[in-house]
Order: sequence, then structure tokens, then C-alpha cells
Amino acid sequence: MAEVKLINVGKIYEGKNRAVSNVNIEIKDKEFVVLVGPSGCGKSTTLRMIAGLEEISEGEIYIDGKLVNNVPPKDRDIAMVFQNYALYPHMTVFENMAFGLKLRKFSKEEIKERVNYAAKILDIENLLDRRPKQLSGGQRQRVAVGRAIVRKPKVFLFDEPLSNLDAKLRVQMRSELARLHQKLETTVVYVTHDQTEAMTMGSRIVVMKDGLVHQVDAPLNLYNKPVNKFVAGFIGSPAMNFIDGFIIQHEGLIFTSEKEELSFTLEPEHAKKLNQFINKKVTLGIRPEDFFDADENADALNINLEVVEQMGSEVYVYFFIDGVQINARLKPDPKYRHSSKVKLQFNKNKIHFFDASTGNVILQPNL
Amino acid sequence: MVGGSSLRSEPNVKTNTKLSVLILFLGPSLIVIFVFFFLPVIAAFTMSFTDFDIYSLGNFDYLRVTGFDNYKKLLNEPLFWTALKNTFYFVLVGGPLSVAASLGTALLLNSKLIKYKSIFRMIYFLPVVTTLVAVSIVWRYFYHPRFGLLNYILSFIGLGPFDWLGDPNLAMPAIIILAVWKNFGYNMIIFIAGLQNIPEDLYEAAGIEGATAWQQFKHITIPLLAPTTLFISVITMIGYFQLFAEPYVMTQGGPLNSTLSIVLYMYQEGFRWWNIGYSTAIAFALFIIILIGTLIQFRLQKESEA
Repeated sequence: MAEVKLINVGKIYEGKNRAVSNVNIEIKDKEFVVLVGPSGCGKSTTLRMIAGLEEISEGEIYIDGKLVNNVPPKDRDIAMVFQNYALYPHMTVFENMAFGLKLRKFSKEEIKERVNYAAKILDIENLLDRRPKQLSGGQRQRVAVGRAIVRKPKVFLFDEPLSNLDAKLRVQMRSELARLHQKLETTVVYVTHDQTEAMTMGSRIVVMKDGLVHQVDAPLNLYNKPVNKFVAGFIGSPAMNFIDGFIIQHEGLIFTSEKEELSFTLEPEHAKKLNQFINKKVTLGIRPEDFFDADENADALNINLEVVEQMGSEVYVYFFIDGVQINARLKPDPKYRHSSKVKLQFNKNKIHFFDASTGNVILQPNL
Repeated sequence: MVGGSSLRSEPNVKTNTKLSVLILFLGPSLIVIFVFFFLPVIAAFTMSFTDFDIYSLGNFDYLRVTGFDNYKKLLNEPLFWTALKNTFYFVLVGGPLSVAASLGTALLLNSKLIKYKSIFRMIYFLPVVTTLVAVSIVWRYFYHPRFGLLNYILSFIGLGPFDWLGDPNLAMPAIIILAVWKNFGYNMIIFIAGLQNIPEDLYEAAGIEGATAWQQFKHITIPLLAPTTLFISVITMIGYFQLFAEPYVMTQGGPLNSTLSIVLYMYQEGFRWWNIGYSTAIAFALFIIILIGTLIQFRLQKESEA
């Protein structure tokens, strides 16, 4: 039962290396917020500042309305799950989970009850007597989560908890953690570099890069209405395609790519919004799934397929426009083969435009 | 050469080939170990059942096999018991002190608060690489009853003067202080390596769970450092049982035999009085004591793990 509020939070290492700047996030009670971004973007540093493991150089952090800048980790009423699990190797699973409770002088009965309850939820009751080294990666992860939940903290912090697991287990643990969050109804701050994890688990996502927050929004809003080129390219897999070009006035507005391999007339309602970018450099963004087959269409793109990846339920094809590799996600068809010629079209209502100099969005699709 | 399938039908050939390969690779080192290690040990062990001395060194005809006489003599010799007592005093007081000093400095140097760590590490390691005999001579001046620095310092707080190396009650403590100063740097380096092997996130996790610095030390550092501590305790104990150069240079075992160690006693018997047979018996007695000490430490460690 706690809100977490970050106001203008920044981190400067040794007085000069800036890791995080001006982070403003308001995390509501019981919310599952994911901090996502490429490595070195400051997401882990931000989480560690919430935990109290890093000093806060600038700004303020509030947990449950209380300023915690100078509160040591143990008094913040939080629990953290680490990437390498951080289980105590010399203690059994039971002792690992009971450690924090023992330090806080809980009675033996209470400790036993809480550990057994957590073990039951996580399905690790049969492992309580084992040492961490006798467990598999997934089991260790559960113990680490169990150690966090026995204390019933106000806030859970997860630092890339699934990145040491294999792909299959990661998918499984993903849904288990989401289910656990629904059951425990606690505020969660979760750090990951994996945008799929962020999209599937978070009720809200904070996208970070170079120590800055780029966008804070619900998963689908991030996907459909990214505020800049970085967010657009980071969220979604396969990633959005970008083609640089210019807006030209010629019987309405026309977009033409730099090497003129792609050029099309903009929809009238788009044209209104792009008026001020005439003769300026812009970046066109098209999601791979917005391409479709256009056999009979005269103004479709004539394309030479370079690579074809069969996924079974769909097919990813790769080709070049203007020397830039473009990826399209299509319905399977035997005609999509390596170096075959096909006609493709894309949905012009779903395109994005970004200012090529700033990367900020200048046209979002209407959804 | 050692093709698998063609040899499978002839098991003898394979075994022989395997043996010859083994001999080829292990032979040289086994020969060296045998000549320079096992042979002297066996020779010494054999010698401890004889009255090998300066006369038999000149003429082997004087050599007599005396069975367990050397060992019997040893057990009835008060000087041996004095040396044994002194050695145990040194090991049981100096050993733990040395380990504690190493652990203490290692913890300090591993702390995030310390700057210029490598300089401190070098300074603390310096005594280890200096020559023991030279250092012992310097420390003899340091301990000098009238002109020594230690007494000079103590005089400021109204203590002394003490005759460090001349007082039978102070001579062994003085040697222990020297030995601890000389040795703690070596174990400190091993402790630092052990400390750096403990993942930082264990401390972070414990900190979040509510452990104070002392509780983190007790519940994480101590148990996770246990293998390092065992290793250091064993090598320190083995080394300290072989106390020799410090008393040899500083006190010659005196005053009143209060710093006579087993190795010094063995040296005196063997090389001053040339009772070589007898002194090898002393050596084997020491070997058995060290063996027992090591076994006890391993057992203690196992019990604490269980």
C-alpha cells in the first residue's frame, strides 16, 4: 500500500559522470511500473536510488508520502529481487527467506507461517531444506521472490530478475510474476532491458535512454503513439522501420525518400499537420505489420526480397529501400522466397513522422 | 598414436600404451619429487631410529640401530617439554593474533571508505618481503631496554622500562609481536581476495532486509569467508609451529629457555651437538603434532558447516 514519487531525481557519480537526470515519475499504489531502456540508460541506477543503495544526488524520492532521501534501505519498507538472485549460499531456502524476519525479531511461529505461506504461493515447499546451489535458476528466482514477499513490504523492486533464465522459463516466470502482483496487490517497480517483458508485464512503462525519461505511458499507448524516434524504435519487435526523406509540395504534399526510391502523396489530413515541414528533412516510420500484399495495385512498391524468415504463423521479409533494410511482417505465402519479386503496400493511416533533427514525433497515427 | 577403435580389440595394448603415456608425462616430476622429497623424508625417518651422530658421520661403523630409544629419550627430556610448551604458547597466542590482524586490515582495506588502497596494501605487505634476519636485528634494537624505541614510547604514558628480550615473561610476547607484524600482510592479501569473492549484492540484499553492519559481518562475511579462514589458519599454524629464526637471531632461545622453540631445539641438538638421529626424532614429533593440528582444524570446519 504505497505510492512512490520521484521528483527531479538525478544521479551524478563522483561529481562529474551524470547517470540520471530529471526523472519525474509518480507510481500509484498497487501499480506495476516497468523501467525499460538499453543498457546504461540509468534504469538500474534509478531503481537503486529508490532502494537506497545509491545516494540521490539531486531531487527527492517519496515512498508512501515520506521523503526517503536520507532513510537507509532497511527503513524504507521495500524488498528487492536482484538479477543474480543474491541468495545467501550458506543458508537453506528456509533460512534465506526467514533471514529478514529474524533480523526484525519476528516470533518463530510467525516466521514459519509466513515462509510456509510464501513457499506455497511460489510452489517451493519441497525445497525449503536445500541450499541455493542445489537449485535450478528458476527455483532460485522463486526463492528470491519468496524472500521478498515474506516481509510484506510496501514496494517491490525487481532488477532484471529474469535475465539469467532461459527463454522458455522467462516466459513462464513473466506470467507468474504478473499473477503474483495481482494476488499480492503491492506496488512494483520492475527494471528490464527487454521491451517484450515491459510490454507484457507493466501497467505503465517508463522508457529511458542516456539517463533521461523519454516517455511514461501504458504499453499500448507507447506502441501506438511513441513521442520520439527512440521510443518508436525501442518498443515493438520486430522494430519499426525508419526511412529518411523530405516533404515536398507538389499537387498536395508528397513524401519522398532521400534517394527517391520511395515517394507517395500524403493523406489530406496528414498534409495539414506537416505543412510547416515542407522542404525539411523528416523520418518516416512504418511498423512491420503495417505492410500488406498488394498484387493488383498499380502504385504498390516493387520489391526484391533479400531475406525471408518463416515463422509458421507469419513470415518476416527483409528488403532495402534507399539502402536501408526494411522489415515487413506478412501472412505466409509460398511466393515469398529469397530474391523473389513481390508487390507490397503499407497502411498510410498508420504511419509516423519524426523531425529528423530532433527525433520528436510530428505526426502520430489516428487510432 | 592412441587411436581409439583400432585398439579396442586388444585391451592389453591399450593398457600398456596408457601406462607408457602416464609414465612419459608423470615420470619426470615423480622422479624429482621422489629424489628431493620422499628420499630425504624416508632417510630422516630411518635415521630417527639410529644414534647417528658426528662419529657415525666420520665412520659408518659407529652407527647403531637403537629402535625407539630416541623417542623415549625425547619424552623424558625436560627441555623438549619446555620447547613444546613455548611453541604451543607461540602458536596459540601468535596464530590467532596474526589471523585477527590480517582479517582486520583486510576488512579495512576492502572498505569503500578507504582511499589509496594500493599504497596501504603495499605498506602492509612490506614486512613480508623483507628479510627476517635483518628485521629481527632491527627489532632487537627496537626492544632494547635502555635505548629502544618501544620503551621510549611507553615512557610517555608512564610505563616501563621493560627488558623485553631479557625478561623470561616478556621475551615470548616480544617475539610474538614481531612475528605478527612480519606475517600479517601475507594473510591479509589472501583475506582481501576472499572478501572480494563475496558478491556485493549479498550485502545489499541483507541491508535492505534490515541487517546492520555488524549483522552483515556476522551473517555474511564470516560464514562466506570460512574456507579462506580455514586455509589461512592451517598455513599459519604450520608456519608458526616451525618458529626458528626470530628466537635464533634475537634470543638464542633464552632467557632461561623461555623462547626455545621445537625447531630451535632440534637445530641445537642436530647442528650444535651433532645428535642427528635424535634431532630427526624431534622433527618427526613436530610433524605428528602439526598433522594432528591440521586434522583438528579440518574437523572443526566440517562440523561448523554441517
